Amino acid sequence: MAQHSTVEKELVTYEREMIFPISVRILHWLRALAIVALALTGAYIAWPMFERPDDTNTLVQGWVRYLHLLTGFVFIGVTLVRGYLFLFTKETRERASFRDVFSLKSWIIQIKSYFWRGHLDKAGIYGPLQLTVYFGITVLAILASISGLVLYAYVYHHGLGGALRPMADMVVHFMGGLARVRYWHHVFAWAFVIFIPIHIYMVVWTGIRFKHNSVEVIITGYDYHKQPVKKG
Amino acid sequence: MDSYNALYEQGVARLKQLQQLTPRMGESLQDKMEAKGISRRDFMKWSATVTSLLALPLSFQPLVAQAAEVSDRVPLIWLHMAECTGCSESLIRTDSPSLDTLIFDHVSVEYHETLMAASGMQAEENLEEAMETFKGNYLLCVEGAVPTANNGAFLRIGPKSETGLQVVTNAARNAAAIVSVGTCASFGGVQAAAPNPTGAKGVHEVVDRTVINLGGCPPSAKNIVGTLMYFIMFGKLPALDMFNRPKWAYGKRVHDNCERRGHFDAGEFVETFGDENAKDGFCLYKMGCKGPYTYNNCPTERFNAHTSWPVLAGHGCIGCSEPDFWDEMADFEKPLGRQIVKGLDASTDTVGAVILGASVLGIGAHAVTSIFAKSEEA
Amino acid sequence: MGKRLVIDPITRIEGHLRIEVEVDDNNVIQKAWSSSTLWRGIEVILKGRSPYDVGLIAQRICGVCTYSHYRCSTEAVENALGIQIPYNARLLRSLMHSALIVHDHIVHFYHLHGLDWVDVVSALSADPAKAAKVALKYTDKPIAAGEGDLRAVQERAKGLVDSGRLGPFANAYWGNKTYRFTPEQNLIALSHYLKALEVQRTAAEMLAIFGGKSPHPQSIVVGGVTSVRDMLSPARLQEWKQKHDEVKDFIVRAYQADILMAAEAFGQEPSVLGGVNVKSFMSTAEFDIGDGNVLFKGGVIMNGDFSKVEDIDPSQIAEDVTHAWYKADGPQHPFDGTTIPKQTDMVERDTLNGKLPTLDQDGKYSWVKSPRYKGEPVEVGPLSSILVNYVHGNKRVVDAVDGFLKRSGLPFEALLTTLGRTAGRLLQTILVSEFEEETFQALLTNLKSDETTYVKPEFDETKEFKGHAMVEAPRGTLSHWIRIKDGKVQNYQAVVPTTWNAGPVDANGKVGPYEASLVGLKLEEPTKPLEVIRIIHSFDPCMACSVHVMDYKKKSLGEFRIDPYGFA
Repeated sequence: MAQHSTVEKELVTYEREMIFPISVRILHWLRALAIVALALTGAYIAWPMFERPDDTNTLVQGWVRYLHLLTGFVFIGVTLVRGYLFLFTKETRERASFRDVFSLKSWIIQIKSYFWRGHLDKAGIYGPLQLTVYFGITVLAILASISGLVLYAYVYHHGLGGALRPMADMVVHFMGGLARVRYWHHVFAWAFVIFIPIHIYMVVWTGIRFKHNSVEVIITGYDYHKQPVKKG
Repeated sequence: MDSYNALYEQGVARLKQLQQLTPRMGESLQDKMEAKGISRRDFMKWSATVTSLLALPLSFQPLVAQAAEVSDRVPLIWLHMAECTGCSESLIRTDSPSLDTLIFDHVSVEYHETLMAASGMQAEENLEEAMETFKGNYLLCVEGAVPTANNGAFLRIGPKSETGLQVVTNAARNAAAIVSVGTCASFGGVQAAAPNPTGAKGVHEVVDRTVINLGGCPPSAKNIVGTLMYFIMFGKLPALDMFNRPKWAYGKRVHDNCERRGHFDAGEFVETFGDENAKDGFCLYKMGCKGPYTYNNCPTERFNAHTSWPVLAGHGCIGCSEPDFWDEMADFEKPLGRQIVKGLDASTDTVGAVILGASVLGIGAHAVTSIFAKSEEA
Repeated sequence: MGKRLVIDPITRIEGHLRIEVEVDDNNVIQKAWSSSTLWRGIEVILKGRSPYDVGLIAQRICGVCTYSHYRCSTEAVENALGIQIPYNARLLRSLMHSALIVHDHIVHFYHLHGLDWVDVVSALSADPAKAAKVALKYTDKPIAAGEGDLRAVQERAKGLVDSGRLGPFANAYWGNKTYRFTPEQNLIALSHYLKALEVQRTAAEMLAIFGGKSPHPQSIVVGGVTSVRDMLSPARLQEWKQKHDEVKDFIVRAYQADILMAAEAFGQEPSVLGGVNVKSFMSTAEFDIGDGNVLFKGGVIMNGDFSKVEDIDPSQIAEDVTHAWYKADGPQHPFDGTTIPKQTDMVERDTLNGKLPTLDQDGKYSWVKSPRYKGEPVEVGPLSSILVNYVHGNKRVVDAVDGFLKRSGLPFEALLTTLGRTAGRLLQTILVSEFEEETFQALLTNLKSDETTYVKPEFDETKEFKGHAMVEAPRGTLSHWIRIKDGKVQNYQAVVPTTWNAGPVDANGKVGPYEASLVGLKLEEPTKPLEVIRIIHSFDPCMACSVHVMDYKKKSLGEFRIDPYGFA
């Protein structure tokens, strides 16, 4: 609290820096929306918890599955585009974080900082632990998408489902049965569900702790850096 | 469709080839059928049924009929490994009155321990004679898994006390085609369930050849007989899926053609066995039905001459035509997410919820500590 | 030193069985050994699984008596958890059990055992017109035994023989002197062999109506039965009734007639007038539809004393492994029993078929243990059930037995033979088939006021449970024993009919029913041992059932201990 008063006393200027361009922000929120929708609809599909309405013509499960598939495809699209942007965009800020991932020192700095020791000092916009977790989540996203597409291919026999069938057969053969595929799809979903609260907390916490604009940055795209106090 | 035309041509060529072989039985099928009181009309009706059963266009019907007429030239050797004889029991329930005996007469059963009159040395002679006489031409069906631990010593057969492993590898060498009848022969089955004490394996794992797998515990008589008919007609294996199961029988999931599917899509589920929803025939998903992950034609063909099938009898599918289903699909009365995961002693959902709870607690602890933590930042 | 004969495989049974006998110079069997040659291990696989799943897994012990293990296993769990299933569920299970027994006995008599009595080749020389008249001797309304039917069957058989390839009938024992039917009688039986193929299918469908499928039905759960829709459907009930009528018709007009015919033809054939040399018999109560209406009572007859029948005392059961491929210090109660495999080699010997690996009779030679009751071997099966109930004075059974003896002109002693064992199976089939009508009526009555088929089990997973169930399976007394801990199966044990009958000799030199039944039997032609096969078949062997205990990690079966007196 004492810090706030300091801010008020001194007249400081801030530099505004664009961290996440509009494309990244839109993709982030699309993905967030998709994950929430997928988790909710998926939970219903795994265990249909509410009773049907009296009207038997309403295909409750059918509609829930439809939503699940729709958001699933959004999710797959986002994963692909976001992966492309991460790897091939001219802006190097994201990729710069790789340097930290391969530096033991950076790891120590980040982990120490989470336990209230020292600054969060990093080369790119992500810490090494952060980038590793995001990378892991991306791998999970790919696995969840593949298992999801396999399940899709056995429900819809024509069109995309039909086209995916040979791939689906290979995956099922590799996994030793569709039940295994379905089971792991379920496990992947849990990983996302567990990731979400941790992710939100860490974002808010680093914002408060290190006075970053870490929450708003994913909405407006800007972070603010304190400028050195002007002389005179 | 082109592929059908090609198949048809192949069938015609195959039958021509078979017709040129010297028939083992002197008289024609027609005479024999008359002797057995089966009219030509009954026979054509039957061949139409088999045609549609094999998912072939009706134009194939004459071919099926022709195939049955020459099928007495296909000798069958049926071996029993580590098994319960349920598959043979299923075979003897094959339906359409009088037809079972027709099939018996036309697929010449050279060796089948449950059916044959000879025992002991005489049975052994039959086996050896058939393997020699029909070298390269006999159809080999295997029922039961092959124990492989201790060099296969857990199963010994015949006067020479050979292991099951030896018997099956010998017979497989000169078979025209090999059919694993049932989940045990296909994938190891119940004796291969954890901890698989006898090292039981599916036939395809011990034989260096393509093996048709007829999953099911046991497979329906339709699936057994239909597959044999396909081989007789075309002289080749039917189109197979990823686990070498014939696509005509295992191409669709149980869920795809389930009579209760409408209730699944409508979100109408049985909540406990025998409740009002069960009386209304609602979906059994929440009772652990594994139909969504199981490939078989049970909903359309059913069992025992279309009498019933497990889902009609109010119990979920247990996935018995899938590899390792005893381990993968258990607990049978719970959906996959609620199965108890071995080693964890809890369901996936419980584990997930515990980790989620722990994360939230961790977050809380971290947040509270943060409030009191001395900042080195400022 | 006698001459050795090896018979392996014994065909037309369930599973893998080897019989070896030693004959003297007159071809009379001096000694016999029975060996099961397959081991699968279902009980070990059951450990650590959900008690709700054990029924489905235990059912895979056997696909012939399929439903018996399913039901017995599920009821063992219910017994452990203290669940009383609804009356409808009891009746449905009873109906399914009846269908199984009827199906199994028909298939056994005609398709497994039949060719031991019926000479197919001899039927070719029969006169169909004469045969049709012969058929009328054993029932006034024969099935599939009119002159036309029989001629058609004969021509069909002739076609097969003329072709030179007999398929399943090839290289058998046709012409053996112990085939005692006349050509006409053989033809009638052959016709029924074919007819029975249809009828057994119908019987199997009866099981499938409430069971979902057969073999391996799937409608029993811990707490009841799932086929509530089938039970409530008038069309389904009617379907059951129709099929029941068809099957029962066959039993009375063909099966019974054929046994009477066999009793007449084989009444003087010495090779079927022995074969019951273990004179203790055990069976359990079965078909209880409430209000004291029980078809079969349980009990034990000891050492041929037919003046009394005692109740089964489970603590008197012990298993001996002196000559079985296991290691143990002495006879053990099954619940204290260890099962430590110790497979030994076969012994190379001169036999009637040249040098062959043979059983090591001085050492260990079978995967089947030797259960003993009060130290004595006992026979189980339909004959035991009939005898126990006859001595009990169970009216239904007494009437059936007396009626049969009167019609066949045989004395009571004739029941204690191979022929009697086969006749006992018929009597059980008739009684079960009649009783299922009562069961069906009870169901219809109850449905007027009650549609319950299931109670949800109360299952506190933190507690320990133990329980058992006994049923009278087609081959005799079957019991399953279970112990549950932490919500999972801790121990599992099945005591199975064929184990009682097929076990090897014990430490005291007491010989089990299979081996005893063959001693003293004279063979016409030892290398074609039809007489041996016939006697063994009369027991209806089911080897997969008898051998299922399995643990390859030797030490873990040391944990296989259940308090024998803790069940009650």
